Amino acid sequence: MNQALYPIISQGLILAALVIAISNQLFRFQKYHLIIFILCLGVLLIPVKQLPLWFYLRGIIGDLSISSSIICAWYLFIELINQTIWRGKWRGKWRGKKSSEKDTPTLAINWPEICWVFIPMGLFLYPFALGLSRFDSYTLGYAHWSLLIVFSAMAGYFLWKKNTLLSMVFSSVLIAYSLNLLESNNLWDYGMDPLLFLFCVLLSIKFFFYQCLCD
Amino acid sequence: MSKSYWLVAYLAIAITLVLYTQINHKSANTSKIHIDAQEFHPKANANELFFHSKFVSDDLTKEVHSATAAPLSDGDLLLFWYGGEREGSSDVAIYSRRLDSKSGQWGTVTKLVERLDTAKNLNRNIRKLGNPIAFEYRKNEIWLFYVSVSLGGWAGSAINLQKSFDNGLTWEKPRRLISSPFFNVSTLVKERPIRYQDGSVGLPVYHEFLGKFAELLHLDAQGEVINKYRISTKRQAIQPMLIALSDSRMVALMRNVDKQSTRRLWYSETIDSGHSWQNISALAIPNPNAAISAIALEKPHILLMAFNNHPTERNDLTLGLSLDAGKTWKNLTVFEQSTDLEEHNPFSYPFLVQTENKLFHLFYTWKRKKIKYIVFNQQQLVRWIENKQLNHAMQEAIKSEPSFISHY
Repeated sequence: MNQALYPIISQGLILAALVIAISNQLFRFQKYHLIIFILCLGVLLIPVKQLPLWFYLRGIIGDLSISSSIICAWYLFIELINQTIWRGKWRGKWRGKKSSEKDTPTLAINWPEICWVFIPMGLFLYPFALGLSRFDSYTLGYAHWSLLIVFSAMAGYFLWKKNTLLSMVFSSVLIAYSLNLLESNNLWDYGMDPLLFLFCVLLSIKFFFYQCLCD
Repeated sequence: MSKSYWLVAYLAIAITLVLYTQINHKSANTSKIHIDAQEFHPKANANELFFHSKFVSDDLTKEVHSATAAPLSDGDLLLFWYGGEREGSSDVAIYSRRLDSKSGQWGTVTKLVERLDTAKNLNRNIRKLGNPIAFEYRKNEIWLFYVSVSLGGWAGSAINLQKSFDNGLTWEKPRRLISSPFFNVSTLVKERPIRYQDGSVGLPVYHEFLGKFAELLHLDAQGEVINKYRISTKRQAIQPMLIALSDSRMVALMRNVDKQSTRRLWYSETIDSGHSWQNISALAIPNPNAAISAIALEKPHILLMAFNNHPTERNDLTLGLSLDAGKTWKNLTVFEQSTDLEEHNPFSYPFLVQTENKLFHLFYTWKRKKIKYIVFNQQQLVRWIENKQLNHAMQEAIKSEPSFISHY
């Protein structure tokens, strides 16, 4: 995977994650997740006005951060495993061996914790980067020790808290940044993107209203 | 924890890689500015006066705009501008033309950058192209920066860098500079870069999204962004024109986009090679929300500037002289003056440059239809200075050191 390959993979991941999430909510198409996933990747390659469709998607949403890609990939992995393999013929073999519920790995995403991490990050990054004051938080991402230490500490903290996903996210961000996997030289672009921030904001609003309704 | 050995190992690899790359990383420390000022011989001889003007764009496109020129080591001048049906239309392309220093003749117009080619090279949709800016990084190596937009208006702009290693004959594929965390939008370029003595480059840029402010992008010798420094904030100043006064001091003259303020040119200074900037202040001369272009003479605190000398309209084009590093200005001559109130901003986007053969070249957008070119020599400039009875002040300024630059 390099700077040329990463964009199309990340576009495919987010499109597939979005379509599967919507289909889960509206149509209950769980059986067809694998087909939807493959179709999403295929659709992105269809040429429109001399350019493949993923060029247009990339023109709109830009390149996803490593964090977003891993969260999308994790989400898709759970959906595909749960719906096609776990509940398919493989499940029978696992069930024959031991109790299926115990053997099923705990891969569920802790969405509130993701919101707690990425909303403060976004609030620190975007207003200052967009010109709120003379201080520009984005410049901390140019090989600045402080942000590297924060990201390393977060990877360690979530490892200690046994949050596999977030620990892997921050470790992967550091590895991708060291390998210069994206076009950007700025660590922020590996760890954060506006879509992830907006998604977390919307999700926390949803949690908030659900909690109010339940109370 | 016992089940997470692989995750511990993964984190250990990540931290090791970060440590390794950081130790080998060449950090963007304060570097000294490279000064490109030309010699100046302040003697006027009527027989040697030289002034000439002509149109240098062709009629291939309905509209043209935003000319920029790069003086080359061989004495040639490479001109760029963009043209199309109108500003922001999808057929806009960047055109180029070379002025041969030996023959003094302009070459043929070449379409250098097209929207669709740029989209294919950048692997993303491009809706329109915008301002180009070019400079010779080293002999035979030319860097061309230009604006492209994938979504929305100019606020959705990003900057691309395209290089030539054979003096502008052939060009490599462009690549995007990543300069903003918000979809990398809203970074534009208009004015020429400065060079640092360590081989890095300072590219003055500006933002037009939520805030309208100026910044300095610090690029390494390969053209990768290694840092950036904020020059202004809020919605006040864009298109910073940087002029190096010494190896650590620079001034920035900026277009005024602040609708609340009186329309005057913005000014700021730095004494640490552009890493930190003084708060901007308004100069006495007007600025009708218009681009300016300035250069330093041999003594870098003596500046020349082409600008619109009106608070609301771009109906004139004036040449100004500053003897105190851009703080005060005297008008030398007026190149254009329109009294037709029907015409909207007929003279705009000047670009002033001096070549090694001691000629001053000025390019600007003429009624959006053509790129006009004015060339004059040092003797002509001295004649204008004498006509304004500024020659004594000029002599004094040449003798003096720029001690009047404020410290903060």
